[in-house]
Amino acid sequence: MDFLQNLAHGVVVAVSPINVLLCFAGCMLGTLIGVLPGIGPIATIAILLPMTFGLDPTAALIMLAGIYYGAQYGGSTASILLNIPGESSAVVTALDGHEMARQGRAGAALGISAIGSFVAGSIATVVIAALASPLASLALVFGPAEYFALMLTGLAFAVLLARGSVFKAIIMILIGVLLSTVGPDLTTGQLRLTFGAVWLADGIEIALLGMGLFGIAEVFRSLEHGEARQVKQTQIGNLLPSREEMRASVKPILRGTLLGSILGILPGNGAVLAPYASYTLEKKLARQPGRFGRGAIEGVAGPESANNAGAQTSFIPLLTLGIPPNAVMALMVGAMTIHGIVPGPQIMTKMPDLFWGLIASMWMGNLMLLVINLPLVGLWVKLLNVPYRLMFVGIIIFCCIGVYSINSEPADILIMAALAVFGYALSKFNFEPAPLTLGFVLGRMMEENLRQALMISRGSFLTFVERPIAAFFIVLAIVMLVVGILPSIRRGRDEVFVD
Amino acid sequence: MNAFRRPVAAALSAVAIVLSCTGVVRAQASSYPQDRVTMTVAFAAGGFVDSFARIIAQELSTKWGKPVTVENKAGAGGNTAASIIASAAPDGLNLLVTSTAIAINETLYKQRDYSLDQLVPISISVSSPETIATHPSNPGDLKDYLAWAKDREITFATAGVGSGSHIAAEYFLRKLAKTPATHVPFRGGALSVQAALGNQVDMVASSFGVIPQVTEGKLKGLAVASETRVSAMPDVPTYTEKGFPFVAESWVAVLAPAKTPADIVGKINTDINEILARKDVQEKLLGMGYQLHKRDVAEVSVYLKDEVNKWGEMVRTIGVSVE
Repeated sequence: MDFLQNLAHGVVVAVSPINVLLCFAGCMLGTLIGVLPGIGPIATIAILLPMTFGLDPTAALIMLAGIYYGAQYGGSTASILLNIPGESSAVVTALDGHEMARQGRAGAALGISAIGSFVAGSIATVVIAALASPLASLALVFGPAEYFALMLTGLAFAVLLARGSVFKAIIMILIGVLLSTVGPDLTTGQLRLTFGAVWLADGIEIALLGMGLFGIAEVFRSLEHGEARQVKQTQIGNLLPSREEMRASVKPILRGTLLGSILGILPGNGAVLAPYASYTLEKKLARQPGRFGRGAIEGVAGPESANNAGAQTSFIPLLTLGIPPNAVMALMVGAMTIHGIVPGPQIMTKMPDLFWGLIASMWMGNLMLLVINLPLVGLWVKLLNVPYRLMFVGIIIFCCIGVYSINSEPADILIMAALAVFGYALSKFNFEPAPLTLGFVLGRMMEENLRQALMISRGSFLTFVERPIAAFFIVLAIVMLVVGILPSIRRGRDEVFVD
Repeated sequence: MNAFRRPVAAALSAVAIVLSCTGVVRAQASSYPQDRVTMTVAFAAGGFVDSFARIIAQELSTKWGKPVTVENKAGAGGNTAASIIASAAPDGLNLLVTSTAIAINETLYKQRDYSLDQLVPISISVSSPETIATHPSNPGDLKDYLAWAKDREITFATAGVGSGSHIAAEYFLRKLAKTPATHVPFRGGALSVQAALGNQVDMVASSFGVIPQVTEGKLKGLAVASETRVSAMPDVPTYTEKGFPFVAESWVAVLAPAKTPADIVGKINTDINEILARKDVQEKLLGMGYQLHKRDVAEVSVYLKDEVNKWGEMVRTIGVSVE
């Protein structure tokens, strides 16, 4: 009863005209910056922060949150249309999403990602509202040992499901892990693999990897094939997913939402695993896994839902513990601080207007995003009619601007260029860049959590057996790998990342 | 996005240098600032240093009638931003906002491509004492805690190797309390607090980051390293009260290139102090657990020198260094 009262109170706060307006502004802006590669929510929120000083804190946070989850919606657009994932979650969407676009089904891919995101966002909002406190304390059970085991399971899944090219997939994962170790060592502070170069001293940004390995390498491949590789324009009339496609997407959306909601709660940025986990799961469950990577709508619906659900539930550690799970949330902490709010466990009890108002606004925002994004689908699809010889110039310019805006570091553009050449070479030799990205994303977290876990256990590896949750994930990872090695089952196994 | 404005600002400040050399325009406090001021923050957006910079930038901008923008240039523990400002035009339009790191790094880093002599401190006005805290299921009194810790090599989490929290906590445990402990570094203060909330580690060392958790009873504050107790958590004793005379505070400093005219440095110092004297600003900062200090330029300079020596001594004692 309390819960309903609180939620009703939140709705009253959220529907005040100024809050509705700001929520809309945030969502709209988020969508736009999400579409532009590289210009992410971090830069946008940081720039807009001073403008919110005059606002009431609740209104300010409603708008900033809108930018964040709006960018999650927009982020899929660039990866579906142009194969430019600006962040690690969008890498997964690009796998089947861009393939669909090339088959003339861009509208369906964009539509299902908007619909999936809406369903996921709406459900995840209810999860936050109803279960925030109990879930937050549950998440604290996850220490470094548990995180390490979880990440290990994530990698095991990736290896298991890479058919034929298991060897190549492992190589790709290892290269990704290797790239993630560039930069300062966590436990000693010493620089690794930087070869004395200042511009490598803080490691490589994931956005460089996305834009180089995927976006610009894709430009190279397209140019090689001339205009022939261009997206088919004949079937553009079909802007929304068909009834059949909708039916095929229902379960992936719900499963993705569940996975994303759970992983998003983990304060150690577990949400990054969500789209990968969802893609793997959908492929494993599919009757014809061969369709994945060739434009399977489930491969867009699941991961997009998982991503958006994770984006919403990652507010839980922030609002209930005061612990920001990722860089954007850290910025939200900064925003709260500037508005005189101390982020921490007391927000829910001492500032019910803010807590419940923000939650109610998230639901409203998701609805707005659906309304903003569905009509835009037509516009985006029309964008594909632009001749490629003009478009690729724009893609490269936007990627360069985006990369430069992250750190104002010219060397980053060169790194992206080098990665693009590398990405092109990979495709020539039939290596897939997606496992590399997963290795990169998980590599650093795995290493750090492993070392922290061993420091806490004073060097005893038994910690991974003694702690039940860690042991569960380790066993799961081992079972997956053993099952994968058995030849009888290998025949039924499929590629996850091969397109 | 603000990256676009950088070249413009650079060009304008280049013009300003040329003009000031030819004597056409002399930078003067009465007319300062004549153009946009850029505050380069040495850490990522969202942290304590960044929040302070943004609050101050907004107020200075209103006061001066010129835009004051904040740019984040994180990297190499704060050294990247420091070296940019060390070699920037000394016209008062380029300011550095950094933390205790600028004092610690003098000793911690073997190599830096700037020297502290290339910078002049303008203001060090807010601080938050280094604090140690533990899960409520562990002994909550410092004496009891140390007795309990004697039999087990405790683990303590911090924001990272060479952070103020790491240096202060390790110095206290090893040198003052003679209690062996294992340091577990995390990537940032928030994750170290999380590890303590889940009782994954025996202790967390942090500054303002633990305050909300301590006031809510999710963590027990063992001691704060300030002269007096912190108003936001009045129940946590100082180290001195517990028999360990130890003060170590994390602060925010505003600096400028060394050759910046003294009258401009003085004006910025005065203006920041005026802003911090306002009740609404004070309430905001005190509520977050920061302590305020009114220092003029000479006092700031002395304080920074003392801090470099104090942190240097601690760094050498615990024997940590970064290449």
